Amino acid sequence: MGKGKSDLLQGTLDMLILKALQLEPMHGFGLSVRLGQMSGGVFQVEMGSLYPALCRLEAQGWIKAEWGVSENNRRARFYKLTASGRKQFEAETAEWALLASTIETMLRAT
Amino acid sequence: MRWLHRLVFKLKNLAARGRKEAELAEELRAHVEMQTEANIAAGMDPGEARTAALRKLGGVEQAREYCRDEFAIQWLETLVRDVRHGVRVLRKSPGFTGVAIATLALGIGASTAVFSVVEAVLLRPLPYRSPGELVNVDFELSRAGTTNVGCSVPELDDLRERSGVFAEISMVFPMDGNLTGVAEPQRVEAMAVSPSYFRVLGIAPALGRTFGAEEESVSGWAQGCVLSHKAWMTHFGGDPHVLGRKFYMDYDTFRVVGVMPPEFRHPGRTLAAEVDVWFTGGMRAPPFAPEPVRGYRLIPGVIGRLVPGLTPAQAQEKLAAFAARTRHDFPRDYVESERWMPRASSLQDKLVGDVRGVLWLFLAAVLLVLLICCATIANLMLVRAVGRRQEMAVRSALGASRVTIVRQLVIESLLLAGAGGLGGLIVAWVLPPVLLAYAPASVPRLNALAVNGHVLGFALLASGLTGLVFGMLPALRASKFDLIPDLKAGSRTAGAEPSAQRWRSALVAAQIALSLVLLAGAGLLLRSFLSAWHTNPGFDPHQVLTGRIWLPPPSDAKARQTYHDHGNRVTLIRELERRFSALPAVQSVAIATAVPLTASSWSTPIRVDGAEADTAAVAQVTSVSPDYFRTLRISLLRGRVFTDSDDGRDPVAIINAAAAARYWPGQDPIGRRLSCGTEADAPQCTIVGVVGNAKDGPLDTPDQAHVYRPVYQDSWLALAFFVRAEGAPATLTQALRREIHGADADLPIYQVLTMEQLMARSLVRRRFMAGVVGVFAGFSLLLAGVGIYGVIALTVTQRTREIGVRIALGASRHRISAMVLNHGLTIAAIGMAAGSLGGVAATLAMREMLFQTHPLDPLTWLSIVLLLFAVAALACWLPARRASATDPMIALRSD
Repeated sequence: MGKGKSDLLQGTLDMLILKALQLEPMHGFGLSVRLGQMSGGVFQVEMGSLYPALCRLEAQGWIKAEWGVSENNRRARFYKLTASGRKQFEAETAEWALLASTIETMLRAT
Repeated sequence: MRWLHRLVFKLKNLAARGRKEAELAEELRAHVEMQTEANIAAGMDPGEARTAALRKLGGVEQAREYCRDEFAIQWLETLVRDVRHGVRVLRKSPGFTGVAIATLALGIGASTAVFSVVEAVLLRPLPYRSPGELVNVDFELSRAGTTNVGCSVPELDDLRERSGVFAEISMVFPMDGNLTGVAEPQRVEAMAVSPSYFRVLGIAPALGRTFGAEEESVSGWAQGCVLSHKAWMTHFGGDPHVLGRKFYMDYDTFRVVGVMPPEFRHPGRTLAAEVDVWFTGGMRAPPFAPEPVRGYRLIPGVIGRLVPGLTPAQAQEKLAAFAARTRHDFPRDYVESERWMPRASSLQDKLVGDVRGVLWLFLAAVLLVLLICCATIANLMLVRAVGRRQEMAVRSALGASRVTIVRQLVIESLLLAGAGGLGGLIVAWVLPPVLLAYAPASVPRLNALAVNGHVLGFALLASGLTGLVFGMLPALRASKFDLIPDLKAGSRTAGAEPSAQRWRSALVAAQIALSLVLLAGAGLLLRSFLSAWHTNPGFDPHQVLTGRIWLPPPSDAKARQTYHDHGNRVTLIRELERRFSALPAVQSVAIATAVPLTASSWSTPIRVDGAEADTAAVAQVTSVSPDYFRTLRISLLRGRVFTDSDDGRDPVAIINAAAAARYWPGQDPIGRRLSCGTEADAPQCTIVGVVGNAKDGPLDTPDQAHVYRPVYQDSWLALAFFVRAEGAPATLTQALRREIHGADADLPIYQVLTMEQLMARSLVRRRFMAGVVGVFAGFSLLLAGVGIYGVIALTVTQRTREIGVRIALGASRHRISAMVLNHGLTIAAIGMAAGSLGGVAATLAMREMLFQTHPLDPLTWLSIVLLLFAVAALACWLPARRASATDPMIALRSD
C-alpha cells in the first residue's frame, strides 16, 4: 500500500474488486483507476496487490479473464464477474455490513 | 465442491504453465504502458511518465510468485520433485538399493504367493452358482458315536421330499470304472450321482446337455453320461462329434450326452484322481434291489442345495426334527439308542477342512518373514540415514523443514517398497505353481490360482505398509539432529551417538525374536515329520511293488458277467499268482483287496463271539492271499497264517494285535469266533492267528483293529497285488502288466508304485509343511545373521578410536574380541528371550499339527537356541577379529 494511504483490510480488496466488476468487465489498469476513483483517491492499489488478488479470485472461480482490446486499441485481459462471483459478492457485502455496524456500535459505546 | 474447482483450475494451469507466465508478463506490460499513457495525458513528459509508471510496479515480482503458486498444485509438484530426487539418490547407491529391493521382492513375493493360495482355497467362494447354499450331508449314529455311516436309497428320497430343507439334493458315489471300447482299456474315475447333481451345483455343460428327463425315468443305471473335459480330450481325442458316441465302462454300455467345461471339478472326495465320467440312475434295478432297503446304507456321500434363505444352522434344526420324525415312523429300521442323524455343513468348510490350518500357518509364517524383511531394511535405512546426516543438515540449514525432510525420506522408502512390490508380484506369479507342484494332492483346487484383484490388493497393501514401517522410523530418527556438529562432521563419525545404535540393536533383536518363532515352528514340524517317518509301518516296505486291478462288474445282464462270481474271481487270483511267481527276480507274490497306508480297507461292523450287533464294534476288513504276510513281512504273533486250503469251506480269520487287545483283552483270541457285517447269516469265522499291526492309513495315524480273511474265502472286485522283488522292484512293472493282460486283456492296472513311494506319499503333507516353514525359517535366520553382523561391524568401525585407546592402554586383543562378541550375543540373548514368549504361544497354537512331539519339546528348543547363538557368534566373529586387529597408532590418528 502506498505511503500515507490507508491500508486495506485483508480481504476487503477482493470484495472491492468484485464490486468494481459488477458494472462491466474491466482490465487490470482500468480496475486500479476505478478503485482509486471509487475511494476518492484514498486507496491507491498497487500492482503487487492487485494481480495476486485477481489470480486468487480467478482460481476461486469468482471472476473470469478473457483477452480483449482496450479503449485505445491495446491488447488487454478483461476480467468479468461470474455467477458464483456475484453470489460471493452479495455474501461478502452482507457480512461486511454486519461487521461494520457491529464495530461502529462498539466504538460508540461509552 | 470449491476445492474441486480449484484443483481442476490448477491442473489446467499446470498444463499451460509456460503460457500462463507469458500471459501474466504481457498483462503487466500492458498495465505499465496504460499507466504511462495516462501519466502523459495528465501532462507529464514521456520519460518521466514511464518512470512514474514503473515505480508503481512495486512488488511485481511478488505478484508473479504469488500467481505462480496460485496456479500450481504445489504438493503435486513437490511430490514429483521429491520422487525425482528419490530416484536419483537411490540410483547413486546401487548396492543398498539392490539389496533392499531384492529382500523386499522376496518378502512381498513370498507373502503374496502364499496369500494367493489362501485366497483361492479359503477366501474365494466355490465356483458354483450361489455357493453359500451348497452343503455336504453326513450321516451319523450320534449316540453310538459312529460317523460317516452313509445313506440308503429311501433315506435319500426322504431327505429330498420330506425334510423341507433342500432345493436339490444328490448322492455322490465315487467308483472305479474300466473303460473299454476306446483305444486301450483304461481305469477311469467314475462318479455315480443323482440326475439332479448338475442342478445342485448349477453348472451348464460346455457341450451337449447334463442329465434330464431321459435319465430320470431309468430305474437302473442310465446310458447317458457326462464326460469331464479332460476325459473328452484323453479318451475321445476331443472329438467334436462325441455326443451320442457309445463306449463301455465295466462292460456296461454308456452314451455321451454332454461334456463339462474344463474348469469344472467335482467338489469333494474322489478315489484317486479328478472325475472322468459322471453317470446316474434310479438305484431301483440291478445291481440294486428293486425295493430298496432302508437299512442298507450303500451311498457314501450326499451334497445338496439348501432352500434359498436357509442358513446351514437353521437347516440343521429342521434336519433334527426330520430325523426324529423318520426314526419315529420306522422304528424297525432305527435303533433309538443309536440316534440316526443327518448333518449338514457348508460345502466349502467341508472341502477345505484340515487344509485350513496348514494355510493359515503358512500365511502367519510368511508374514513373520515379511516383518523380518522390514526390520532388515529399516536397519539398512538407519545406516544410510546416519551417513546422510550431513546432507540433511545442509538441507535443513538451507531452510528445509523437518516435515520436508521426513517426507523426502518416506518417499524414498515408498519408492523402494514400490520397486520391491513389483519384484514381489513377479515372484508371486512364478512361485505358486512351484509351491503347488510340491503340495499334497489333497489341497482342494477348485478355484484356479490367479493374481486377481484381491491378490494385487494384498501385494499393494503389503508394499505400502512395509514401506511406511521401515521408512518411518529411520526418517523420524534422521530428521532430529543438532545442526552444528553434523555440519562440521563428516559422515564418518556422524550418528555415532548411542540412540541410533540403540534403535539398530532393537531392530536386530526383533529380527532374532521373529526368527526364533519361525525356527521353533519349523523345528517342531520337522521333528513331527521325522517321528512319523520313523514310525514302524508294521511291514517291510523295501523292494515291494504294488498295483491295483479293478474287475468290472456290469449291471447289464447281457454283458460279460465273469467277475460277479466269486469262483471266477478266485480263478483269476490264482492265475495271477501263478503267472507272477513264474517271473524271474520275483521272491514272493500276494493279492489282497486293499493296500496298506492308503486307507483303502473297509471299515465294517463286526460281531464278536456271536454277540448281538454292536455298532461300536468295528474293524478294518481286508481279504488277503496266503502269502500276504510273508510278502509284506508282517510278523505273525500267534497261531498260523492262511493256507491254500482256506477257501471258505471252514471260514477262518486272522486279526491284528490292536483287534486282539480291543476285543479279547488279556485273553487268547485263537479259536474264538467273529463275523463281519450286520447280516444275521454272516458266516462265523474262527480266528486262527494274530499278526502285528500294519498301518492301514498314513504313517501318522493310530493303529486300528484289523480283520484279515482269506481271499479264496471272501473276494471283491477291487484287487491289489504285492510283489517282493530280488532287485529294484520298479523294473518289474512292464512284465507284471504283460502277465495281467495275459490273464485277461480287458483289465486295467493303476496306481503301480513301490511301497517306499507309498510311505513317502502318506507323509507328503507333513513333509510339505515342514519344508515350507523350514525355508521361511532359514531365510529369516540368514537375515537375522546379516542384521547382527551389520550392527556389530558398524559399532566396531565407529569405536575404532576407542578400541585403539584401549589397546594402547594395555587391553589384550582377546579382551577386545570378547567385548565385541559380548555386545552381539547380548543383543541375540535379548531377542531370543522376547522371541521365546512368542514362540511358545505360536507352537502351542499349532499343537494340533504336531505328531508325537510336545510343543515345548526340549531337544527342538535347545537346538534352536544353540543354532541362533551359533549364527550370532559367527556374525560377530568377523567384526570382533577386525576389532582385535586394530593398530592403535592408525586408530588414534584416524580422526
